[in-house]
Amino acid sequence: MDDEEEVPAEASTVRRPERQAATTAEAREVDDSSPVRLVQKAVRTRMNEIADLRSRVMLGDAEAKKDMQKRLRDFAKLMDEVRSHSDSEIRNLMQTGFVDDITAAHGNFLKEGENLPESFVDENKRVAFRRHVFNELCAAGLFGLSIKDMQTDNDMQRGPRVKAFYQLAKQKYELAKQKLGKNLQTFEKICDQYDGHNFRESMEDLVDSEYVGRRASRLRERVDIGRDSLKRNQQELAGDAPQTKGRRYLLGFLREGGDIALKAAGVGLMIYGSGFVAAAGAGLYAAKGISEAMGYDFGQVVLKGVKRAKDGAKTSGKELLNMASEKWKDEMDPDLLRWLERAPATSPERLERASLGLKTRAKLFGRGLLPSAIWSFSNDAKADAPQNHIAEQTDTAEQKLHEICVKVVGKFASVKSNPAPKEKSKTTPESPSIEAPSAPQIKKAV
Amino acid sequence: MDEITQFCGDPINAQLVALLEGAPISDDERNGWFDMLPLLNDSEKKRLIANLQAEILDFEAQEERVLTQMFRV
Repeated sequence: MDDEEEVPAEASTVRRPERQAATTAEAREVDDSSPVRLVQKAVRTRMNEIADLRSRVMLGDAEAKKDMQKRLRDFAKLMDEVRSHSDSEIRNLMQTGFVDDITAAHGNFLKEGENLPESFVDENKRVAFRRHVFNELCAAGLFGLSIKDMQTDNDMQRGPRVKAFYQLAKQKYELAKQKLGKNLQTFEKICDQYDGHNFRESMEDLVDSEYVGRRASRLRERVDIGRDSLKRNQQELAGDAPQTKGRRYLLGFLREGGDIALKAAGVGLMIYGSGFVAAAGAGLYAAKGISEAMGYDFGQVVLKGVKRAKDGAKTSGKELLNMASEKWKDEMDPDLLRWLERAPATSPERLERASLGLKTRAKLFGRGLLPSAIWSFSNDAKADAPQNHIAEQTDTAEQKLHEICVKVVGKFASVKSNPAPKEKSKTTPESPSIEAPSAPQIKKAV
Repeated sequence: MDEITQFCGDPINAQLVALLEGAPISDDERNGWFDMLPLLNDSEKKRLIANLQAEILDFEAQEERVLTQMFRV
């Protein structure tokens, strides 16, 4: 399931803050004349340009759209040049994931068949996404499918290489097709709507014409939040804030160029967060720094738990605790300790975003975070269905909270304790910006 | 109480993570926010929560609309 993430994971090992530091012009104190840094800078600049154009395109600027396509072609060319660069350090950089991240990200800007290298159009994502939707349908008991038909991760025992994984995924897709039988067409129709590059096209005709604009403005708002926060953090850390352990790490991280890395992440939000674009890569910039800042014992323990869960074992809060050091248990908040003790076992499926599709999402809303648990079942209920599902969702909430904790904390330590933080994003690799259609909606549709 | 424990026990963080999980944003943005979460203060978190709630509500509405139109025939 996460094999695709291996690529960015590898990338994270090369993206040390000191390297990232040179990726923007702000890194004055760093020697930015080395070839690697110059290349990074060039790539970054072009990505920023494309991101700016992208937001203009989202607002309906036809001129920008043309321009963007040209820039993307230039960008592809640049990537090709870098890939065959005479400096081995630069070539290595590209090999270790940089180029994959970027191409994966930009592949999503393109329609199939556009004049760009093949690597820009990712067929694998389509297949992986279909597997996800297929599993959703099985879980929802639609199309005559049941949980037994699901393609679990055990079926997908990953080979040594990402490529092998996708070959297998394609075989499995054929299998899924057979199982779907006469429903295949409907299935494809649903999936097409959610394919990164098709989605934009088909959605744009169907959605409210102002939707794209609203998304763009919400995205800008989020970018602002991120920037405000970074600015504030930098100011605070530069001042005389109390030096706790976590803060000291954070301070060190920011001093060593982490702030630049975080800015890069902010830019990443701009590039990748845009609209319907499903992309790969940018959060990694921030990941390492934050992990170093915050992740020690606790994270490592949870990390082990996640790993075990991913390997197929069920992991309960208690088991996580058993793996914890005494020191950590002593220091732990008693409430959290008690909660972990009775947290139910979490199966590997539950740890994946794949299973956080519709049902879970509905349940999650039932916790009172959002109105409402039942809106997917009835339009009319939307208006007046606030938080009355909380009680019946207690169990789920507990499960969910467990997942969240595992996930959040896993992030703190992922890079620190494991150079390839596969659990950093336990999310579905496929078409990430879009959730699968909700079960009730499909039901309606069928 | 150490910072991490405090962080995990804070309901606003749980809410934010839950919303980030459910929001129709790219995984990179999602992960970017997960990574930045420890840096946000409460007011930033609240802004983000409001934003994500709007994003989800809007998306749900669009999803509904698209599906209705797709399967009208």
